[in-house]
Amino acid sequence: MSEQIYYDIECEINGEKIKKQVPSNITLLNFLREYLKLTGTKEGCGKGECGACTVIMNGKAVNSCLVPITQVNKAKILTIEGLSNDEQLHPIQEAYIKAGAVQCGFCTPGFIMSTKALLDEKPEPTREDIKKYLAGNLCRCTGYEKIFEAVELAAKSLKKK
Amino acid sequence: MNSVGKSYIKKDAITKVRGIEKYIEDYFFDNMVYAKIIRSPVARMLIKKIDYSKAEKIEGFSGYADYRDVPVNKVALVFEDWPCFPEKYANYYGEGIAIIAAENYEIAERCAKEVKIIYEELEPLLDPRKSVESKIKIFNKDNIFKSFNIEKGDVEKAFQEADLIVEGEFETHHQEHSYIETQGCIALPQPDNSITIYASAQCPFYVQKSVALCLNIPLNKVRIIQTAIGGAFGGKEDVPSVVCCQAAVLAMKIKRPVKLIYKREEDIISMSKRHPSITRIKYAVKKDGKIIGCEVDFLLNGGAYSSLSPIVLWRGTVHAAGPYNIPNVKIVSKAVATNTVPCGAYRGFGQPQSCFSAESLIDEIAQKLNITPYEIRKINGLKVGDTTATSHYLDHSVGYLDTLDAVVNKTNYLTKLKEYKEINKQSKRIKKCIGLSSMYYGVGLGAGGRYLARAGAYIQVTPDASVILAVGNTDMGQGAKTVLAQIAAEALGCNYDDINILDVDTALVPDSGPTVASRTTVMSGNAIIEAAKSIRKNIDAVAMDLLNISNANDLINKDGYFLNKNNESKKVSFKEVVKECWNRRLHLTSQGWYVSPECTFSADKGQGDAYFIYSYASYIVDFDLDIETGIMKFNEITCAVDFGKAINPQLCEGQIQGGNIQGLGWAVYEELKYKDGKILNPNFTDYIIPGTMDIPEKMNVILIEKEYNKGPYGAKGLGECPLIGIAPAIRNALFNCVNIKINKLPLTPEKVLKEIKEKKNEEEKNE
Amino acid sequence: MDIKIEKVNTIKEAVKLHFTSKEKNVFYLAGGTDLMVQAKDNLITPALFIDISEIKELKQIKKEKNNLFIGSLVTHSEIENNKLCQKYFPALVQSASEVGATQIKNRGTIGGNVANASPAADTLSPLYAYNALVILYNHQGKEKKVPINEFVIGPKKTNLKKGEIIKGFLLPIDTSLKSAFKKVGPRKLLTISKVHCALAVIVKKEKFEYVSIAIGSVGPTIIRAKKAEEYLIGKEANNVNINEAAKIATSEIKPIDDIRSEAEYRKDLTYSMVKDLLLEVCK
Repeated sequence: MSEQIYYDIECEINGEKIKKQVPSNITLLNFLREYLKLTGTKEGCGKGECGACTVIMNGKAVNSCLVPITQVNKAKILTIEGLSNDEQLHPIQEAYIKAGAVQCGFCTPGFIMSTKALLDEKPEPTREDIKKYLAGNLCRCTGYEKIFEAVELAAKSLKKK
Repeated sequence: MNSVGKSYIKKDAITKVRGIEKYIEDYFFDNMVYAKIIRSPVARMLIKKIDYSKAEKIEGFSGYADYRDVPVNKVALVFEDWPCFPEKYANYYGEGIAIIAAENYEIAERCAKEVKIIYEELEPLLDPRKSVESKIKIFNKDNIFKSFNIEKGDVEKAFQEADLIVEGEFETHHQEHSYIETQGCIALPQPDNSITIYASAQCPFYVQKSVALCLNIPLNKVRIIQTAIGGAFGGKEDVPSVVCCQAAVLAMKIKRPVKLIYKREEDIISMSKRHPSITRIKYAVKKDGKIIGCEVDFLLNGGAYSSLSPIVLWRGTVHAAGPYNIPNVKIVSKAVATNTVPCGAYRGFGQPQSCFSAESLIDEIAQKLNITPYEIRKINGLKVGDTTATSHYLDHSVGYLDTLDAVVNKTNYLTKLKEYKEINKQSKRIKKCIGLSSMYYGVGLGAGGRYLARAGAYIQVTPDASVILAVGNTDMGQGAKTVLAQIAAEALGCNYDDINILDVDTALVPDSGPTVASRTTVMSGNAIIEAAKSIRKNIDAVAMDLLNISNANDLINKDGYFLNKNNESKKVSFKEVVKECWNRRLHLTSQGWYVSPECTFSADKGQGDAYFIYSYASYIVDFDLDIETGIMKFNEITCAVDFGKAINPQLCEGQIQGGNIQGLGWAVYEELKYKDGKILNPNFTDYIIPGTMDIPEKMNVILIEKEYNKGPYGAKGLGECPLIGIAPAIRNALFNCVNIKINKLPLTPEKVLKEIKEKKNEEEKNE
Repeated sequence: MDIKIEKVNTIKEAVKLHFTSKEKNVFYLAGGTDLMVQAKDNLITPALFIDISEIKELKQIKKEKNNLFIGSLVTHSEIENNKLCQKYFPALVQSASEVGATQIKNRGTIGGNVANASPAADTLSPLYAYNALVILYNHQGKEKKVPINEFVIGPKKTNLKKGEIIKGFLLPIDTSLKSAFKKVGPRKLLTISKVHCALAVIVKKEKFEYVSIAIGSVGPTIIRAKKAEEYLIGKEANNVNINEAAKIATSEIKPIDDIRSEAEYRKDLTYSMVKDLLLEVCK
């Protein structure tokens, strides 16, 4: 392979403006984890088949393991780290805790980001809506039941606010 | 109870939902290199040479290791046949042959591609039925990893006296754990020739033992620290020893931290699986429904190395006759070697395999006797006063019939069975199906692992009354940290929030055995209670003093406060009492060591108290079958488990739902496909685990508590129970409601449709 | 990954680079949901990816007289939510809604799905059923329209020449057309199909005036069940022997055993799906 090409990227991640020079053939997931040390977004399969790497890019839930860095330029990205700070959890995060939807937790950031994207689009989803929307996220621990309950709880909680 | 029985929020919930919990992949160390394993491209080969010359020239290459660099080339598991790096023969497709490292992962990938293995491909042994006679010797002279024999009563006589004999042969397949976090570790060599390894490992003490053996250094120079585990289910019981030994060897060689994280494909290809099985089983039955004899021949395909086959075989064998009071039993079993992926632990550990056979045949007995599957189990199901296949007398805590009645009542099973049969007569395309199964589960390692049947705990009550708790068993998502903290809080008399439980570190607590066999609540729980005793003695004495109580019976503890039971207005907090204890320089730190009751299993006839206690479960699966496509639409799974005591009910529900769905995956969706011993679908694209749309509409979970008198607050074990009986429940639904018998898993639409068509052809022939 | 990515901003730049590049493997990179996976698996590397993701004119959906133009960069999510697609091409909408799952749909494009040309590409069967045209633009500035079944020529093979790019697709609008799509895979979503099928019919005066049955994952490319279509044309929609039509359609497919399923099962599945689809459109 020929010499490494670099790429100047400017984007916004969790509200912060980021400017960096990186190899042009890395993925958004690499960028988040290795270059920005935002390790909340996980690699479960690297092929877009499990959703553990889900982030919200320009308002849409995407598998960051498949997004080439060249398409992140000027993008607005929200990762799990951007949902809360040391003081307060996001209602979706609180709902996941309350509903008992977190076991090993490895799929959890991906599910929470997908949930955020869902509730942004459909604030009052039916159970069927939830199942379809979250179908791109795999969980091996919970059997999904408590995850659905968490999403419903989050929807209720967000409605109150 | 103050803390026990409450659905507290998990100790690790907040860090996990925030994405700040650290899994092994999230750790970075100075001077660290990134490793990649070089793997065998065929199922069996003779290694001639490993050529690193091209790889070494790549800029960023940091080193390599193979069999020449391993002081003692054995990974300690039950036996020691699995080498750290094979020297002569590679025995399965994907076996790790060497390890290379580079400054970053991309370079490591490129270097790995340039490493050449010069080998001679050999004919592999792939069929477990041919293992014993085969000329290809993988293990000893006969390829038998282990065999067992159970003889109770006189089974030949039973078959002579039987009114009815029912038999069948059943086959089950691999299951891949599909933990969402793959295997990984970071090995950090220390200046004094010791090593610290961070690992996603269920059993840090197993890893410690194997690394010490491999590197030929004493145990006190090997420190294993467990990182947050992203799912395990048994898949991180044995193989982390291989992963860590490989990383450790390289780390010691190049004297740099080595980060070894598996990619998904190589994880599926090379890491251990659930054993495939072939079971022949026969029951002798009287016309009143009493089962008087059972004979089983149970074969497990152990793959290329023995790993945990001896104990998986043992558990599957002990439970093979089913949860029934049968006076005459004969079970012979063996685990054999083949040139396929080594098999090890997977939730259920040999029982899903034997349960599929026994429970399927039980329904066939019921049909032949013209009674319901419920009745046959009611007649024969284990209760207090019965004995198991190993003649273990059950004296208490037997909730089998409670679980059976619970699921049958919840689903209205008997009525539905009749209704569905009627509906199906009219319905041309969609058939309603409902199926029942059950099981019993010996908690802990039992007689098969008696020398490991002990666990430690460490409690330190600090001057500000916050508590440090350390145990030897790991949280892998199932909630061990939470449950054990609740037990500690209960035992100490403080609040759940006062407890900080540390990740498992082999330097903190003595070897507590593995986190397996649904043993953690009992073993670590009891170790904690043991540790708390001496601390509590001091605390109670000081509390009595502060409250002016002279009679110990008057002292009670409620929600972190100590009170006089006769005058509850006066109370003193745990914190106040602890402060005073420290003022008086009393010792508030302690170690606990719990040794579970002795288990026995005679070498000749397999008789004895195989486990110290059993949990029980029953399952009902309800689905609609489209007979044009063989596709099942799942409506409901109902599962009742007697596991003694729900320390944290919400976590228990989560375990049951999760286990049910893994059982569903194994029964219907998941299948590894092979050609010449090579796995063809090592990815989530084509290894299908259930997704959000594939689970039943409704999941009913019933917690039954038949307290174990030696369990921590009555608890037994839960984690594996929910998976074990799902497959036979589905098979029984097909048998009872559509009259098709499929004895080979998985029950894919392809298989189901084939059976339906064959049956239709036969019916048309007979008309 | 052994790839070089070069971003272009216009369609002219894209085709020029495609034409002039000396690299062994050259691909247009849109959402990356196919290409990035193949690159990671080393199936297509070393490669040049021409990143066309920002070319605005490829992202439109607009009505052009009696046709709907769908740009090649339109994502499956966008198709799923587009009112014009929902109104005129419900089979395409249904297929787009079942490509992978949410995250894939948000990135994957119809152009990418067609260019990858897998027989299991879910949007292909509706495109065949609707007789879609592929609009190609080349480095000489010329545009041409190719019927979809002439553009896709084999499993993962299209007729795309050097210096050409898929600009989009033209789907003829006929308000009397009724259509539906069905997909069956090992899982309900996030799955590759065992069989997928799109059906479009026009019923005039209670008789089938037009029928197209397009079946995927049962041959090297999408198969139009022409004999079944002929069987149905002219017959009374309420009175036709659906089983017979489905049987004929099944005889026209060429399924194989593969990692996902078996040939025999695919035949049974096709039979069932065509029947169900006919019932659905005839309601």
